[in-house]
Parts: sequence; structure tokens; C-alpha cells
Amino acid sequence: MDPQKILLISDFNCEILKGYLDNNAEVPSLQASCSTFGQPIQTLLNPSDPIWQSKYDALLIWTQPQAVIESFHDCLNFKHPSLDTILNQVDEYADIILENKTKASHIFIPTWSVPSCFRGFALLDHKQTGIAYVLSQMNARLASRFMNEDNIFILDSQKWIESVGPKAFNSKMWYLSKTPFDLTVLQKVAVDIKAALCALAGQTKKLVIVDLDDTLWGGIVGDVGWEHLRLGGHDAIGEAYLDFQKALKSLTNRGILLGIVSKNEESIALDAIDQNPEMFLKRENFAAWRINWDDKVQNILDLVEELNLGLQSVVFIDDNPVERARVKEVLPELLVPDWPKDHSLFKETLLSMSCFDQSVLTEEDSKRNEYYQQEKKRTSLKRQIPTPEEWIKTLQCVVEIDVIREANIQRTVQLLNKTNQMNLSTRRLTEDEFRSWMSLEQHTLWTFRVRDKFGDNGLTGIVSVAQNNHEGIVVDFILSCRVFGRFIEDLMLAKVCQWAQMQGIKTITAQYIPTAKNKPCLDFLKRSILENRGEDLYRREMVYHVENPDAIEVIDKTLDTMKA
Amino acid sequence: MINEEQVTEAIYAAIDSVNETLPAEKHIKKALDTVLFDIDGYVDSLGLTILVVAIERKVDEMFNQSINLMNEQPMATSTGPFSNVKNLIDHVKVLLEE
Repeated sequence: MDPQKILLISDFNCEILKGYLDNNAEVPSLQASCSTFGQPIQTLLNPSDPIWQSKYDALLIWTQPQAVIESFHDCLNFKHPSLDTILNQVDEYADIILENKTKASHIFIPTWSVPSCFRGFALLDHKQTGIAYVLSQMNARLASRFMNEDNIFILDSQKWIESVGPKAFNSKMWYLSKTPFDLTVLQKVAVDIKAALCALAGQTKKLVIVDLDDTLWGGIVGDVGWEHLRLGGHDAIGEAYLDFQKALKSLTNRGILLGIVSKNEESIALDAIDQNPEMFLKRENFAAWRINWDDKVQNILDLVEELNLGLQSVVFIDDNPVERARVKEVLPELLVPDWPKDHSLFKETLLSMSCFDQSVLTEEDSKRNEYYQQEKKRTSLKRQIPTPEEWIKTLQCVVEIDVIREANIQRTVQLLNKTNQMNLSTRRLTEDEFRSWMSLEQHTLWTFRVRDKFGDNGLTGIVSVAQNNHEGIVVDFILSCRVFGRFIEDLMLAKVCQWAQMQGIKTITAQYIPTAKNKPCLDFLKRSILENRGEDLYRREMVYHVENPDAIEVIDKTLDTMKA
Repeated sequence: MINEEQVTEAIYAAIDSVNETLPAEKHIKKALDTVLFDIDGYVDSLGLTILVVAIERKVDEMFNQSINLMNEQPMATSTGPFSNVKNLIDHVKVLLEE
């Protein structure tokens, strides 16, 4: 895959940062360019600057506050410009950035900061024109100006600076290269930008698999019994494990699932989870588990398959370096972080991981664990029912088909950008790009919301088509892995065919674009009502009416609705 | 007495820092005779900045002692401290022993 292009616009020299971005082995691979050194405003104001001849995936606009906000420069020289004057200049700066917001898919803007060695007004620093107070107001104003911009993101520079400490600003770097920050700050920036691009590409980790003994609690439960585990209580080690459990639980509120893979007797381990009063994580907080004496690699593969996830979505946490090394070697797609020996570092290690970064958080995310709990109940029912059709019928599955609306646009864009497996073309779009595409008359999109007797799965499917005279071209065919295999995908295709008949369209085509992850979509196309016409092209001539699958109740809200 | 192995370790760690910003084919070799800042050398001015900052930091960590590699324009001549890795090690040793 070609490297993503990022343009660095700054009042200081970003060449070293460019070096880190270009040569860091982490994904995504990047090709960075630097705009003319020291001229951020000129670059942003000049559309004929040669730098704009290229199209960029991302812009980083990183400035020192005194370089772009003149009144703040006065402030640093102990003059007293009014806060209104300063904030007006911040607004002007924000306007310039907004003028450029279509020049890249994503724009990153680090918050402004000043060196910690600068004492400013000391006691008066948080008074009306104190530097710390003014700077906090400037950053707040900048953030508020971009709050509703879906492709502009503020990055917290304070985190980089705090993690490096008093040497984050490096005078020697400034005098030698006109770079105000230490190398370690620039390394952290490179890591964060890559994490942000991964998050925007929907590559957020979705599942954390944890070991039990000496990972989730202190001690070997099979040896000491659940009553004697070190967990919570007035015990430093016990408290550290408890806090780690709380941190894991907090991830589930962001839509990240928890699983267990542990070498233990299942009954003993589950007894510990159920019986130990200090356990913060309950059995229902885990989407799935494999607790036995088998190889952990096989257990992880089974568990990930049960949850319909890809290995690249998984983080594996184990205190045992041998188990970690084995998993890392056999399953290189998995993220297996080096785990500290010191229990007191478990929580902060987990919470500092960038792999959980998200670009958007929807209601569906926060309920994901609930959905998987419901799925467990469905699966257990499946084992008692002979055929898939009969099983689906017992689920009392209801699918609501709708057009795109303001209320579902964010979730739709998220599905577009996050779904990998049941995805025909793996097209990725920002919200603005999506809105622009939808605004064209020949483009149509339906959303599919799925619920059954176990609960509401939310908006989990989308299909979009482009009409070209008498041909309907399926552009996006996307279904969350949570619900595929329940004939929802057949219903989605039926909907396309029914629409085609109403429009007088003679042919439906779907061009499958293979990726490393979307084979489930190909498998579906092969068994679907479409015919393969070679080269991953699937087609149907619209001769017969296509019925909805019997097993599903359909509420089609689109029949009386024009495109929004 | 300053341990030469430790100084070498500090310099090699600094070279690693420079290499992180370079493509693999341009990596600076960690060898005593590697030419650094010279007409034929590997290191450009930004690489030199990284090298200076990284060596000073590493030396501070390892020896708990501050040195200033920018004194007396050490890269001014082609036989100066930054001409090759060996000369750089010797120069850092001298600074540490002062």
C-alpha cells in the first residue's frame, strides 16, 4: 500500500519530525513533507504555493503561540493586551485553518504550550492577563472553533511535554536547528500521529484478551483458592490488581470487548470470578473466554472466531513473557504489549496504550459488550435448533430499513470506516466526503438496523448504489460482523434488487475489491443471488422479483421516503 | 578514570537516535572508523543536531555529568571531533575528564 501523505506546516523546523514519521516502522507508513520553514500563515493563505499541488491525507499545523498570535507574543513580554484582543486573533487564526480544511482528509492541530522554565508572572499567572490563564483560554477557544469539524482534531501537546518532563523544550535543539522540542517529544508526536491515522482508518483495537493468574488478580487461583487471591482490600498489590480491573472495565464503555484466555480449570477460575467479593469484573463483562490447559494460541484463535473479529483487532495481555513470546511469534497480527513485572504499573500501561484511540464514539460502541452478551444467548439457542433458518426464526429478528438522515449519519460513516470483513469495496470516507457523495442525485443509500428478542444490535448494515442509466452499481455493501450469517446480507441484496425493479434498472453489478480482511464478503457473494462474471465482478439481470428472506420481519421505512 | 566502553555505548546510542530518522539504506554504521561530519560523511546538519543532543543526554544519564559538545565549534575542521566516531569518543572522554 502506498504511504499516506502528510504535510507539516509550522513556524519551526519540522525536518526531524519528518524523519521520525517517514522512518518509524509502525503502521501506517507515511511520506511527510514540510512547508516552507517559518511561514505557516503564508502557506495557509497562499493557495498557489507549490506545496498545494499535491493532495494530502493529513495536515499537521503545529505552531508556537507567540509566533502566530501577536498579542500573545506581547503577553510573553509582560505587556497587557486584553483577553478579547488575544481571542480575536485566535479566531482569525482558526478562520485561516478553516479556509484550508478541504486540503486534506484530516487536519491535526497540537494545543499551544510554552516552556515550563518560563516562570511568567508566577503568582499572577492565572489572573486576567497571566500567561497560563491566557494560554488555557486560547487553547479552549481553538478547540471550540473546531468542535464540530469532523476532520479537524486537536492533539494534546501537554501530554507529550509532561511525559518528557522539564527537558521537553530543548534550547540546544532550538539554537542548532530551530526546533524548540526535544527529540523524545518529536518521537511521541510521530507515534500519536500514526495512532490518530489508525483510529481514523477504523483500526482501533476491539478486543482485549487477558490472562487470569498474576494478570487479573495476584496469585495462582488453582493453588491458593479464590479466597486467598490478592485483589483489592488493604493491600498495595491487591489494590493495583483491582485498579487494573477497573481500567479494563472502563474500556468496555468505549466499545472494547474483554475476553479471557487462561491455563486453569474453568470451573475454579469462573468460581473465583463469581465468588470473590473483590472482583470488579464480573462474568458478564467478558464477551467470551477459553479457560483450559490447551495451547493459548489455539484458544485465542477459537475465541476470536467466536466473536467474529479479525486477529488485527486484538490485544493480548499476559504476565508470562514465555506465553507472550509464543503468541507474538505465531500470531504476529495480534498486539502483544511488553507487560511490566511491577503490578503497580498495570493500570497506567493499559491506559497509556494508543491502540484504543477512536475518532468517533457512538451509542453502539458503548453497548458493544451488551450486544455480545446477547449474542452468547443467541449462540446457545443455535446449538438447540437444527437449521440456520429455524434458528433465525426463533430469534424473532426485525430489520428496519431506512434512508440516510442526520440522526444516523455519524454511525453510517463509522461503519464505512471501521468495517473490514463484510465489506465489498472497503471505501473509506470522511463525513464531509460522505455528505458530498450522498448529495449527488444518482447515489442512494439504505441503512439496516437489526433487533431481535435478545436486544437491539443498532445500525449494523449499509448498502449504497450508484445509478448509471439502466445499471445499478453497488458501491458499498457493509454489514457488521456482529450480525452477519443471519440472512441480513440476503435482505440487503434483496432490497437493492427491489429498488432496481422500481427504478426500471435492468442490471445490478457489484465489483468485489479484495483486501486482506474482506473474504467473508466474497464468500457471501459466491452463495448469493448474483452471478459471478469473472474478475470478482458479480451481476444480476433484473428479470424476477426478489423476495425478502422468510426468517426476518422487515420494516421498510424507505418506501414512502425520498432521499434525505 | 573514564571508561571508554561506556563512552562508546553512549555514542552508539546517539547514532541509534539519528538512525531512527533515516531510511535503512542511510543508517550510520556503528563502527570506530565511520566518517561522520565530513565532505564524504553521512551526517547532515540535522543529523548532527540529533547526534549532539542525544550524546549529551546519554552522557548525562550514564555519567551524571553535563558536557557541552557545541563549545569551540568542534565540527569546524575535517579532522575535528565530529570527523569520525573514534575522534568523537576521544573528544567526549576529554570533556568528561576535564
